[in-house]
Amino acid sequence: MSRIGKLQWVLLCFLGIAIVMTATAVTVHGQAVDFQKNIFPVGTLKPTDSILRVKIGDRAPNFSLPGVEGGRVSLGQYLGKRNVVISFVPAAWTPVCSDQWPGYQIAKDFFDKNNAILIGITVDNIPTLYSWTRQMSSEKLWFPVVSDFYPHGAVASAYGVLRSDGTAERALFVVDKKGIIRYIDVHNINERPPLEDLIHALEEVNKDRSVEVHPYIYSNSSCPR
Amino acid sequence: MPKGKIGVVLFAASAFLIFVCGGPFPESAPLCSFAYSSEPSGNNGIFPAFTLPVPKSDAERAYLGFSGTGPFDVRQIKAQVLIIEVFGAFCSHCHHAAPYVNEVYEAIEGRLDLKDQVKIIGVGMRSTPFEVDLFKEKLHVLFPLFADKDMVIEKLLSIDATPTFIGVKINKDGSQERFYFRRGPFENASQFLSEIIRLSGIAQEAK
Repeated sequence: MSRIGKLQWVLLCFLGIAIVMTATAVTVHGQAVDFQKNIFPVGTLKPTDSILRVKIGDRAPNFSLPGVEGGRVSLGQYLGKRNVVISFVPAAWTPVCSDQWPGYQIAKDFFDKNNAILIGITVDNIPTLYSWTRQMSSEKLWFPVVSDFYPHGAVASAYGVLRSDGTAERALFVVDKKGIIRYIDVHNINERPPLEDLIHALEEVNKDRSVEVHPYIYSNSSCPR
Repeated sequence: MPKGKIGVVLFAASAFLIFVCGGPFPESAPLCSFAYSSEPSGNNGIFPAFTLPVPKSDAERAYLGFSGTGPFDVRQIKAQVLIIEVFGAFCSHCHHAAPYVNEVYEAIEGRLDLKDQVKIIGVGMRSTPFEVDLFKEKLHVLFPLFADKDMVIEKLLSIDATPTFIGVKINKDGSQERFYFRRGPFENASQFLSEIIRLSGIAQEAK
């Protein structure tokens, strides 16, 4: 190997190391900040924009939707086994939703204590949900996230939480082990539902007691029921 | 192109890359905005006063220098420098940042020259007390946290992202000034603390 050749190898190695180190730094340090940058600024939206098609005491419409982790997730698979919280959020990469499910990620204990599972639903397709949820937490989400993309928003529509622009409401439904809807919170889309309200509802449902619904939950709804 | 020149070009390209992006140390490289977009020392100026509830925990009351109950003025915290982390209890970046902020707290508490001079508090933006307590428990946060469900402090401090870190200098005459403002998390606790010490001027005063 000539002297120039050796010099080139050294320089190439140096360049390689520099690129790897820089790329690592960009990835590690930039990821969290970039994630926030990637959130689409939606502004303030009409608090609710749909008409509920179910009410407390109804049998929850069953569904079977493709999950981000592969396979399908159905409401029926938990029948007789677990209470189910269905969390509709408007869309991936939007402000409040991006701060809602990461919170449920650290609240798993409360769901476990109340024999409950959470199913996260949006009207986005699987690739979008995949990239969105992957950046939500350094750990895999403990609950299934499913896609109500095609036929578009069919499940959201069945529950009456599909908005006129094709996104979903920010809505929570608690379905007991018998498949009955016990709690509904069609929340102001611009705000995140307080965790304690959901936990309280879960505790009551798990004790098979009726849930007192906060007046504000329906105050902005198009269809108080 | 001759082989020697290729090497020189590669060397120049790598040097440029490291210069612009700071290589593995983006905190020292404000030019590389795509890698690091925080503003470590911007937005200096007058710090608005606000009140917080006195913590229930004896240890936290002692840490802040209070013995009573009821709300307290943030300017009454016994410290020369106050670091405020504005976080969201449900914000994944804040979850990620938590161990590094704890590292800063432990570094301060481990240094006799800083222990009673520099304090940290966290304010949970748009978070209920229940959610803040959950955040504290799950992320093992070591310093006092407060909830700002109604966005009062968020608006006062002009916060538009979480986590945001604010450094406030409390002068002997009771006046306060903001000397540090940073949007976004950090992963180098010692560098963050060095920056706080340097920009606050607390080290020079101690001498």
